Amino acid sequence: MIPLSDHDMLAQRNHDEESRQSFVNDFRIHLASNVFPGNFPTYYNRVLPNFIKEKGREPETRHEVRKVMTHDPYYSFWSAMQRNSQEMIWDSVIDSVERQLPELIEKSRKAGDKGSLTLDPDLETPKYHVAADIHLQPGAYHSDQIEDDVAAGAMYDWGTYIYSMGGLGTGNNALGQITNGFFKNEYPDKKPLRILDMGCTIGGSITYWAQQHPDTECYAIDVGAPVLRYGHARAEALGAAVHFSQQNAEHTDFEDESFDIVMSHILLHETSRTAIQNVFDESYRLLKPGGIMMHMDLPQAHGQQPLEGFLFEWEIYNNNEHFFAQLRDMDMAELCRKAGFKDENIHPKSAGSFWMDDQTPYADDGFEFPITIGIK
Amino acid sequence: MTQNAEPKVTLPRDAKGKRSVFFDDPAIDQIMTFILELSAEVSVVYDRMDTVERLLDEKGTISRDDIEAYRPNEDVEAARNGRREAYLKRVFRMHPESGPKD
Repeated sequence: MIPLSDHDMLAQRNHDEESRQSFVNDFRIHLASNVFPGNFPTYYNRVLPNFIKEKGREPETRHEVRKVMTHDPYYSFWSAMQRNSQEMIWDSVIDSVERQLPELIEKSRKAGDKGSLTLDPDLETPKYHVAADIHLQPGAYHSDQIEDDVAAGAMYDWGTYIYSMGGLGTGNNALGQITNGFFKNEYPDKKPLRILDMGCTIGGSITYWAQQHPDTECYAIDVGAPVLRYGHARAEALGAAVHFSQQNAEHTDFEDESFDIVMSHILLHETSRTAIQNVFDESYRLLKPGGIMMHMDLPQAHGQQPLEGFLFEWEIYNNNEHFFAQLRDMDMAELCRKAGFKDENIHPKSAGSFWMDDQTPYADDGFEFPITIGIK
Repeated sequence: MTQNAEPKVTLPRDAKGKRSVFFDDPAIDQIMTFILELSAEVSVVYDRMDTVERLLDEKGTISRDDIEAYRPNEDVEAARNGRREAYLKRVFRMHPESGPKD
């Protein structure tokens, strides 16, 4: 695999770690290219005819498809391999992080001060975050194993890159490129002075924004201390000024009407039914009049065929993405309305059709990230 | 690597949350993990041997440090990608999914 662009905080891999990560990367490409597609003939040639024979009709919902497909041996083997590949991602990055952890912690302590880092040891980690380790990352994003821990961030940097099979780009910032490209296309005349990224983890997106908008004050929040420590040191290593703080996006300590943009990158589906409304309410409170809320997340269920919808939801059940099951059917415009946005200022958009900075579209398979826009 | 200033830490290896069971017999789920991890290690050994062969071609004699320091350049990585792709296709050859409608 093409490695991530090096920076001072990146865990260095020894010979075999590099090889093991490349294997996991290539294995995931193999699954996506050669094994996953077999689910379609499996369904149409075997599962569907059996369903019709039994019920006299085709399945009407993705939930009906789930009940029958999860018992098919082909689907089961693909699923088992996909699940293992996710576990193997972390398995392939932990060794190098564990070995270098003391050194990485020391580097993060000596990080620069173009931006800043403010932690809140008393912040309660929300239940939806501690119930299960998101994306199967052992210890998740919030657990400190040692004082001033950065391990979760160091693991996340390599792990998400392998997860995406390089799709996040060698700067691990494709999502930031997409929202930035979207913003530039949609609002070419806007010059944001102060922006906030919610649920930033290691700040891949906001750091990219900070690099692209050097005159903009960039803020980023997350509930996880180790990812924030790493994210801050990473941003400083990349020469970007980002102000990181440990806060819950549902209720922050920022002043009313203090941001031109409040955004998130695939945060919403990691929250809860109550929390997501709180996040929209808080976004509205923080925006200046005329300010723009941009929450980018994963595609919802509407418009998807039952089989497509079922396959799309694999990560909900097998990669600890539990709330996504509910988000799939939620009315995003209603969340905006309840938060205070007026109907005419609510815009469900697609961010994925925008070009990234290297002039390539994000995905060549038509995948598009929906983005919920609210203008105050 | 510089000297460690902090005590060594053991990071958690297992993710919190119920693990999916994909087969009627959970032993098959466990065996899948063994097979897949083993296949990763075979691939790592293959790359290591490839490194040794390339370095020997280049230098005639090598040390362990030479192996550890070796990183594939773009051409070598492309060759290894191709080797892994063929390896994966061979080892994880799925039975035809469009077989008889049973």
